[in-house]
Amino acid sequence: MNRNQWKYISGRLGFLVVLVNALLFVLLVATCAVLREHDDNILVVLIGAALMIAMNLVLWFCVIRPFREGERWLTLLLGGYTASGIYHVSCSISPATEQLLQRVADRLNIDEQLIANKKQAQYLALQNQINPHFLYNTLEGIRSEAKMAGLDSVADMSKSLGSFFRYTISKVENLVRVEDELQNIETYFYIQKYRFGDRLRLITEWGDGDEAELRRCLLPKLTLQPIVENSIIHGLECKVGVGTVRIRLTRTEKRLLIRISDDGVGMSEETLQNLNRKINRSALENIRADSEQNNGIALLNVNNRIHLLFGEEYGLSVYSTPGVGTDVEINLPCLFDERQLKNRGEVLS
Amino acid sequence: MRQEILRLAHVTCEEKGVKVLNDFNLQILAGEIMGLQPLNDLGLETLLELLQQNRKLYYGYVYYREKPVNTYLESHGSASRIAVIEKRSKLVGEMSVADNVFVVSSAYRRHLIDPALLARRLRVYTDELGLSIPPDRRVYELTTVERYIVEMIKAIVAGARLIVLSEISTFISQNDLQRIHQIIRRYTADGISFLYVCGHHEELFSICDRLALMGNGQIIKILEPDQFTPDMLAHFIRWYADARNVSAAESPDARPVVLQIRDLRSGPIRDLTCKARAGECVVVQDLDNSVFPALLKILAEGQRPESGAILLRGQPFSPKRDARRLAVIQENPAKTMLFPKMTYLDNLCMTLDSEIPSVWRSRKVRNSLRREYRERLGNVFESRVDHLTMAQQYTLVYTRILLQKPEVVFCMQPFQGADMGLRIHILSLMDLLLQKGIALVILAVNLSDSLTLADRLVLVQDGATLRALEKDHFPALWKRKGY
Repeated sequence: MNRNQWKYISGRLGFLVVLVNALLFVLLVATCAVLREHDDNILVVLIGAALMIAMNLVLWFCVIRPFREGERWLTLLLGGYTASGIYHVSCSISPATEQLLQRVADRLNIDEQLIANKKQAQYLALQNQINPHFLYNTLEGIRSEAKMAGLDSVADMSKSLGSFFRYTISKVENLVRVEDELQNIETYFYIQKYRFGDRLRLITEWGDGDEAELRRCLLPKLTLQPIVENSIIHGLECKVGVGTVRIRLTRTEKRLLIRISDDGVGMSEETLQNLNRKINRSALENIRADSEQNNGIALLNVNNRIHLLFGEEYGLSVYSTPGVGTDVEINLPCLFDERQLKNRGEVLS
Repeated sequence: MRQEILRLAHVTCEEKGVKVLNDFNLQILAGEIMGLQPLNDLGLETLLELLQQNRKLYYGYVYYREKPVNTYLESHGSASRIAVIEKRSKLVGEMSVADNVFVVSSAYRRHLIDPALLARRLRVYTDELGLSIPPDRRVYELTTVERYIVEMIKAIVAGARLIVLSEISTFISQNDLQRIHQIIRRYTADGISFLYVCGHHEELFSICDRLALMGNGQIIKILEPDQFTPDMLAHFIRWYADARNVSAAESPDARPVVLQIRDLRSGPIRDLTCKARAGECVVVQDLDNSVFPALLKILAEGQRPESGAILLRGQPFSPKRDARRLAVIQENPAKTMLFPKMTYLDNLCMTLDSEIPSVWRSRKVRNSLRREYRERLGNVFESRVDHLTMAQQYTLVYTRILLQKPEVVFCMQPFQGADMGLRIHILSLMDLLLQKGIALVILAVNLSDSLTLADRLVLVQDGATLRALEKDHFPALWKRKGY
């Protein structure tokens, strides 16, 4: 056993268990040696061996296995994979440890609520700062002036900008239809085309599943736009020549799968690893990290919202190769009605 | 709407503290042939194990037909309903085909076995595929391709909706591979899905609906059919593209012919004819996978052919006299040609005794070898072979052959079982032989990477040379073969 293991009580206990087992084994062998000439006493040896095996089984099932399981959950929590493990620790080392874990779990819950509330408050405050009607009226005014001056492109642009803000700011519902999201993407693309011209292409592909059905599927609002924006800014802006953003939608019985691909410059392996590490951290950790660093990344925000709404088994996966491009795969439950989400919540709870 | 057959989401598996699968994501739909090309070996074995047996996950979720069957929260370790077909047979050799398909299965519930009934049931499946495999034939009597087909039928009978085919083309001929591909397409029409694991992109492009590239225990990219181009793949392995053109620089036409095989007959070899010039790479493809063992007996074991001749620089080949002039690199040379408990240097000196008789006695000679090769091989001379990486073991084999200074080297299925990284490494080692003016003869049942360095391709069918194709005709060949 090395010095590091000896530092911990678990290491010391493990060492003692091995030591006691070894002593018992030696005792058993010695007993065998003494009694081997007496056939009638073989029963004693068998009982001794059976007792030793039974003792080890009890030790395995009652002590070692629960301890290892608890350790595993704590490792997953510390590794940032999931915080839910802390609620799965079924058998603590001592009453004080149990209370400590309970305290940590309570704190995590309170923190989560506080942060979520704070985010909501920040969002509402932002919404109040911008008087939507003032913004729309101004954009409508610009459009009229442009029309009168014969500047059709300016008029179209201000109309698109108005539609974009109307969708982004006005509707505060959680879930929207795929067709609404795609419409918003098209508006966003239309505005970006004024900047990039023919260098930018948007292709929407309907994979397996009826297109009309796919259009009716629900997803969290503003799921696609931040990812498309990322594709343009980080992927295609630096690319020489024409760049394409491809949105491919597929559904299975229970899932809606959306893949947003660009053929831009891609990202380095290190950047991709960092991004995936952040995406794989629990939503809770990311919310905290965002509030601390105040530089939330669009992909993380989208992933967090999906995690909080639907659970850890849904979310984003990012693949990227320099010179090839970036793919963002969004994995969502296939919902047509918000009531389905509420029912899911009841089933889960 | 297609059903989802398999989904691996954020799957992470650890082995001895190393994450061999790290955030691994893969989705396979009903009736889909998903290709999987490993760019290196890390995690592949664990993935195949995970698909067969719901082993414990460090993190992540596995869904089969949209139901979670294995998650980091709950793992039963039970067998899954996914069949994996690979080099190692899962059939019982001594039992009949029908017994293997129906009786050796957890789904078989009857107490009595009715051979006639089982034979009738098996015929339903074989007739459907247009095959004639006798139900009472023992499995050990089957050819490799028949064994693959029987394993596929067994999987279908057992209710598997996903069949994993791992590196099957390494052990069967091109014709047999086409037959397997036809059967795969036939089953996909019934909604059966396939995960086709293979290191050769040409083969994957010809059969798969989508292709997943795997590297360092992760999926790096999913390619759609419109992205199935060597150029796209070259982005992932730039040096792969470089390796493809290494021998194109110099034409060996003007060089002398060092090897000639004339009208050779011996057992299954009925009429084999081919030649190789110095520094030229010739690929001999056996379309039936039948002649190579007999050819190796002549080359490596000194067996006399029934008729015909093998000439080295115009002189008849004598196994005793020309033992060092003609070298044979066996299949899986890291396993078959090295002594794992001996050091790198001892293995390296193994064929030097004909050139330098004092090599085992003289420390001076061995030190000189160390100095000469340290720069290229690194400081590995005192390491035991079983402690080396696979790439280092292959380097050792090829360097040993180089030290032997042969005029012709025969390579038996050189890329068998090698991942993408290792294949590139083998190509660079072969190129080194060519640069030294050695004639290289690759014996292969499946072309794939073999054509990368080839100057000429010799096709052999029914033990006889069918025809020889020069480099200029290779693109037409790929097209005809459906690549």
